[in-house]
Order: sequence, then structure tokens, then C-alpha cells
Amino acid sequence: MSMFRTIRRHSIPQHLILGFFALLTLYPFFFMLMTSFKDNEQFFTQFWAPTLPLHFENYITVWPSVSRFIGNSLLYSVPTLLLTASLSLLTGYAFARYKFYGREVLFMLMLALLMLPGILTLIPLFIQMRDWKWLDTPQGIIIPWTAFELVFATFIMRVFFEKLPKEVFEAARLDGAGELRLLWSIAVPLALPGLGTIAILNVLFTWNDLIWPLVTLFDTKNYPVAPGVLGFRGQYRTDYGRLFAAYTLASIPLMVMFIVTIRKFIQGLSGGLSI
Amino acid sequence: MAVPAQSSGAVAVTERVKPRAPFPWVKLVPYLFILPAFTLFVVMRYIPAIQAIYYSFTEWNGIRAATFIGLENYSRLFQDSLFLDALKNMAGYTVMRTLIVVVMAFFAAELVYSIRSTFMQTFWKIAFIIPLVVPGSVVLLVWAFVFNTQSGILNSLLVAVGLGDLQQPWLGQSSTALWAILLVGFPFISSFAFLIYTSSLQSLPSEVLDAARVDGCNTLRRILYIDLPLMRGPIALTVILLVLEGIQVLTPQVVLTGGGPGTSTESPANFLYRTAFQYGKFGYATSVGVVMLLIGFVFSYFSIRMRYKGAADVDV
Repeated sequence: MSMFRTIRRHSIPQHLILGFFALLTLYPFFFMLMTSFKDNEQFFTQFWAPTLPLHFENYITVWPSVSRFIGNSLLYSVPTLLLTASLSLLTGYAFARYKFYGREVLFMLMLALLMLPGILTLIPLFIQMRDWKWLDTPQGIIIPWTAFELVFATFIMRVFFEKLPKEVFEAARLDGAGELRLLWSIAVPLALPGLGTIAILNVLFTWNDLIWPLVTLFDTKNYPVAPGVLGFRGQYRTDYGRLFAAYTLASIPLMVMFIVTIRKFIQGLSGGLSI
Repeated sequence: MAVPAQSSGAVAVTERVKPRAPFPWVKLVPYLFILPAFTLFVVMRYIPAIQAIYYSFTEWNGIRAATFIGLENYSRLFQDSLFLDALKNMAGYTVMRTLIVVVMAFFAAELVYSIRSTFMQTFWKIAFIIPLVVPGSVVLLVWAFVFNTQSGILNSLLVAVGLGDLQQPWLGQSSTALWAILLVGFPFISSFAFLIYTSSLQSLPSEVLDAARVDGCNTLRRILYIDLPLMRGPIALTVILLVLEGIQVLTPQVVLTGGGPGTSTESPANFLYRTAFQYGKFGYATSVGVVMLLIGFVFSYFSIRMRYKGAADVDV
């Protein structure tokens, strides 16, 4: 077991304290997973520990409603991600690679939006959506989410493009590449790592946002995961196995994304963040 | 939108390529690139923000035209005992939560940092990151079950260790509800702050740390006199983010308590949400949003000033 060989004696206290914290942190989620395989009798007689047999049918029962919310979440999150990624690439590239009149002023005006609490614009934006007849529509979720996420994403892309060596772009320009060609065949391929960070932050935000969908969607059938799972408390009030199966199922897509991108996730933060 | 009227004054990198073009169309390119994003910013962020400030001076039900009433919403707001309770709860929640999260995350980050094996460092990081990707409302619902009166985890634990008398309806009584909300996510290590601190600690300048070790500096002194001063930036960043999050706290209210029992967990954001979407008082509700904007702005301004005052880690 390589894991145990790597624990040196001097660091045993650290491992014990961290292990205790990890136990407290993870137990509620372990409880969720464990209970999701129980029926009510197992739940009441064996509260703390996993039991056999595993009741996979809990998952089969809740699948239709959970999968609907997951589908809705994808319907809202994927277009938001594509829009945010392409617009932040375009905007960040312009800010990093061109000198133009008003560049820094416009950039500061954009960054100022980070100070604007989402709750302040909730009401006017809701009224705007109502007047445009965008309530209860996908675009009523996607476009405001994009406008919200685009600020930080553009900031990341600008910093990213500024770190790339200028010479690559200059050389291509001297070879007679047009502006669009520069963007498409040089900037886009080089931007992929930066876009990875943006994608992670974006999906974490859109998958978690509760209030905006709750306010603008009237039909619960159109709910994404975050507000969608709230209804299960009433639906499976006395059926803990199904309740927790629904919660577990709702958590799986992000978990999968996390496992796929875990390297990126940690690397993206290397060197830390600061002001 | 800015108009490129005077852009001839700016030095475009591209001038060398097309020196004799009649009109430098290429100078419009950056404006075309940023146009879609800025259209979104103006329509979805700036205009609504300005509208919010305007509506805060009006009486408005969202349907008929708004009537201008000056500062009346604000004077009513600061006599509204529900709003004052909400402010008090928000202040307590924000201060406590920020303090605990920063201290716990920093403590755990130092523990992880003190482990020599990179494999184990990554192992602990991942263990604490995993809950971050569980959807926020699922986290709240799982914690709702921790605090559940009937067969909740906390009450069952109390019974199991023979302290059954201490069982409480944690979220259902005003004496404990705010504490219960505050403790969601205990022990608070699984946070953005922890991620930032671990990665910042790893990028501290090694010359300083080596010098300290050579001089016989022990761990506690190193943390107090080297790590903490050098970590001012990341700590300030997380404090600002946590406070801005605390000022706007709304999801625990929506998912767990609805602001009750009584006014015990009411928050300004929840007050705004209910005033607008339950009672249809849109003008009054937006004035709450403006107050929150001002609180956040004043706080950010002073904390950024404090972060750079006498800072050891940057040249000001």
C-alpha cells in the first residue's frame, strides 16, 4: 500500500486531525449514499451503518423525475457554457492583443460589474424578462446567466492571452494572416487551457444557481437540478431511501465532471489567487 | 459603447502591415470583438442596476407605472422591525461564518502544507474538495436532515451517546435556528478558501522559508511571522468574498427556514425576495437591494485599503 508507506512518522498528528475533519465533512454525504440503498425498515433498524440487500429500485423509482431535472440543467448549462466560452475568448483576446481607444476604461467598467450584487438586479431583470415574454423560457435563463458569468471569464481570458508570447501572433501577421484567421487558427487552440478553467467555474455556477430559475420558471417541469431537488422533500416525505437516492442521483453529473477534470481543477489554482 | 472616433491617435500593431490603407478598418476589429459581450453587459447588468436605483425611490407594484416618492422607502425601511432584525441576523451570520471559515480553512491548509509527501497532500485536498461539487441545494437538504427533529443525524447521535435529553428541533425554534444555519457545512474546511490557501502556501517564496529554517524558526513562529503576512492577499480576497456572500445570504433561508421561526433567521436578501415576489412591493424591495449594494461597497473599499496598508508582500 503505497499510501501508507508515504505517511511519515512526524506527520502522524496532522493526518489524524485531517482525518477527523474529513470524517465530519464527508459523513453527511456518506450517509446520503448509504441511505439511498435502504428501505424504510433498514433505515430505522440500522441507522448508522450500511445494510444488505441494496435496494437499487430506489434509484429506478426516482430516475424519471431526476433525469428530467438533469436534462433541463443540461439544456440551460450547455448553451450558457458555449456562449460564455466563445464571448469571453473574443472579448479577452481583444483586450489582451489589441491597443484601442478606451480599452482600460471599458475593462474597468466591466470589472466594476463584479461588485454588483446579483440580488440588486433581480427585480429589474425579472421585470425585463416578463416584458420580453422570456419568463418560463430557456433563453430567459441562458442569456442572464451568460451576462453574469461573462465578467470573470473575460478577466481570466485576458490574463491568459497576455501571458502568451507576442511573437506567435506577430509572426502570423507578417505571414499575411487576417484578423479572423489569427483568432481562429492561433488564439483559439492556444486558449484551450484557459477555457478549461472557465468551463469548470461556469458549470459549478449554473448547476448551483437556485434563485434565478426559481423566480423566472413557473412550471416545475422546467426546473433544473438546483430548484428541482427541493420538491422531493414533499414527494418522498416518509420514504428516506428514495429521497436520498434522488439527492445522490442529482449529484452525479457534477461528480463525473469533477473526476474527469480533477487535474485541471487543482492545476488551475496552482500559485493561488490573490488581490 | 465607445466610438472609435479618435482611434487614429492610438498606435495599432497592425499599421505596419497595411500602411497605406485609406481608412484603417482593422482598427474597428477590437470593437467588433467586444461588442457582443458589452451589449450583454449593458442590457442585462448596467440597465437593470440603474433601474434598481431608480425604482428604490418609487412606490411600484411591478404592473402599473411607478410613482416617485423620494426617500420614503428608505425611511420606512429603517423603521421596519423585520428589516432591522434581518440586518442584525445578517451581521451576526456574516461575521461568525467568515471568521470560522477563514480560521478553519487556514488551519487545515497549514496542516496539509506541513505534510511532506505530495501524494498525501493531494489526497487530503481531494477529500475536502469533493463536497464542493455536490449541488448547493443538495448540501442544504442533506444538512436539513442532519438537523431534522425526527430521526435526524444530530438528534440520533445525541440519543446514541446517551444525551437524548438534549434533542432539539434545531431548525424549528428561534433560539437555535440561526445557529443551525450557521453550522451548515461544519467543519467548514471544504471551501473555496481552503483551495486558495493550500495553493497559495505552496507558492510562497522558498528563499524566505529556507532562511527562516536556517535561523531556527519554529513552525508556530513561521506561521505567525512569515506565512500570515505573506498571505495577506489571499486572505483578504477570501474575506471579501465570504462577506459579500454573507451580505447576500438567501439560499439557506429559501431551502431551510423561510426566514423563520418568527424573524430568527430572516436575512435582508430573503426580506427583499419575499417583499417582491410574495407581497408585490417591488419599489420597497429594490431599496433593500440598494442598501445591500452600499454595505458591500463600503466594506470592500475599506478592506482593500486595509489589505494594502503596511503590507509586507507587495510594493504599494
